[in-house]
Amino acid sequence: MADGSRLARWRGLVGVAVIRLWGRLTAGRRRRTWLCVVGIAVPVALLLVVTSVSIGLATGPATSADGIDYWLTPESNASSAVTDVGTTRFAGTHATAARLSARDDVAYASPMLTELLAVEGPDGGTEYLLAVGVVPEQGYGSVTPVSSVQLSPDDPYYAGGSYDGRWTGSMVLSEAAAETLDVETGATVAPRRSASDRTFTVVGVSPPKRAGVSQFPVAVVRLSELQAVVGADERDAADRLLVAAPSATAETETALAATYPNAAVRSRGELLVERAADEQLPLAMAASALILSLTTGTLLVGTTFGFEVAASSRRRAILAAVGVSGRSRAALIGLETLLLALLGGYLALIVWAGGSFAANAVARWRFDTQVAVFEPWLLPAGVAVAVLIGLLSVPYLLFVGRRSAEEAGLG
Amino acid sequence: MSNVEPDRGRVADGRAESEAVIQCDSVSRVYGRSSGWLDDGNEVEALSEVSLSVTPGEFVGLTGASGSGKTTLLHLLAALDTPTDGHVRLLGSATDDLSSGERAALRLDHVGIVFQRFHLLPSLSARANVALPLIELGVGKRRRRERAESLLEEVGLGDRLTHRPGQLSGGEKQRVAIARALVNDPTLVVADEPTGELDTATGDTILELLGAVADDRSVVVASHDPRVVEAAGRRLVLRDGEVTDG
Repeated sequence: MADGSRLARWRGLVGVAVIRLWGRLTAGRRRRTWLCVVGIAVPVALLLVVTSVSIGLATGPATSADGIDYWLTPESNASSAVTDVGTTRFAGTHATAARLSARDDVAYASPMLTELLAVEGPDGGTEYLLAVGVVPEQGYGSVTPVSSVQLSPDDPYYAGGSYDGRWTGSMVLSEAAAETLDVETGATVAPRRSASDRTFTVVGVSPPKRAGVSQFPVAVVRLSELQAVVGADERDAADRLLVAAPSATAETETALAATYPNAAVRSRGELLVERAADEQLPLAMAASALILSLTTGTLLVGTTFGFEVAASSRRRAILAAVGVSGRSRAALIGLETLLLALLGGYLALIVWAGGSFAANAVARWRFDTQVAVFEPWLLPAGVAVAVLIGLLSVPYLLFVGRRSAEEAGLG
Repeated sequence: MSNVEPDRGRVADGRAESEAVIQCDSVSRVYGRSSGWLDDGNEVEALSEVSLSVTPGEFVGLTGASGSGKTTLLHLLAALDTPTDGHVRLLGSATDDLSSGERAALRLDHVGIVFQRFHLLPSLSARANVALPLIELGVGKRRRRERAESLLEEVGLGDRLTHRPGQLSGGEKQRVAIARALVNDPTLVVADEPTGELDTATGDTILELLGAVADDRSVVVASHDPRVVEAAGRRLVLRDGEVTDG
């Protein structure tokens, strides 16, 4: 047969496959056919939802301390930038940070102290907050788990180490903390560990930047004021030093390493590598979801559409009787399966959109953030996975088709 | 009826060696024959030592009681099945030497089949059902449509082109089946009880069509219907798997 007629034959077979599939979807045993479509759509949609959530987790902010290039932590407490409440701390941190800030290659340096703090709200109830103390600086309001832009620069209460300067008492709460304490901006709260009558005034309520942190009520205050409240002022203690040095050189890193003995210096790149290692879990989730969706989709299509193929043996016998070759009959099975898979893939995109919307709605309600991200490449990827499911199902369906071809049985 | 030129090159046309379109030599067909060591003893001999030939342009009526082997013989003549003993030569090709695919190609090129129960594909329109063999022949869409529409016009269904089988009466379905059987311009048309599911008037119409078909090709029709046998130029009677001239 000439190439042109081969093309005509393929076009004709595609047309027959489309009409037959449309017939299956709209008449007769259409529930079974739709079950095949759903059998492809559901696992592919689940794969897409899991992948988009995984991408959301993997591509979130590298750390909560945006704008920071180096983290100095005591060796035994070197793994986390923010939330560990370790026992080993740096001392003399205000002076050290000031010394670092004085360098030309350092734009900003601040100690950070993190402490669990019992706070009494206006109604007299006591709640626990994760209190974070820093030396605020303009342009670096995002170094803390919740934005601290409402805190004006400087830390006046420190007063050169005498801790008798002006008490600002400014506190920025996360939405979760404000909700827990049932307070709004302007409210006054009192830490229960304070030896004096020190209180804080809520100067702002900020949404958390990360889902994980938002589960805790977080309060950001000036470092010296937190030190005074928790008794860390004697040695000017802090858990870590944050350093912004966008034009850092090897000399900068040497200087940072020499700041404290036994201090671990982590650059942003190193933290990203550590983060990537941590994020093997979402990657593994996505890979597992791919394998599961391929397996379940193939099994579902193999069984449900396998019944359909077996049940249509008489129609294939008619095709054989009128001279349609075994290759063309097999092509029809393959084409119908792939068309079915394509339809399932497109349905999966709709289910994915709904699933992601639901996941984000839950995340926004629970964590005040969104977890599933929309990546345009997931659209063709979802359809491709659906087609792959169809392709993987074809050999079994052809086997079923061969076993049930009986043109001699036509009466 | 108008012609289309199918690809006839895939199966050897042996008419140069034999004038017969169909030649059956001592053909037997046994169902349930064991091919291995396990023999369940349920063999049924549907045909026994049948020999016949059908020449070009011949209209053969095949009659006999139910279970006499009419459908079995038609399936052998149409290369839908192969004999367990003996040989069926269709245009010189021994069908028992051919693979299933080669027999399908032989049918595509040379045989048209009309079944008692029509066997149309329910999801396709009348026109698409008729054009089905032309897809396998690689005929382009426009020519397929033209050919199918022309044949449907000839069988009186010009106004039913886009109707699906479910929207057609029994007689209309059988006319679509006849149009489909003729679409590849076959050398041989076999029809199994073509009037079996139709009322008398519709059956007469179908017989007229088959008579017109027989003008320029060989036709073998199996039927209980005495009208079919009367219309045929030659009558064969099948009795207990054996054939005699009636």
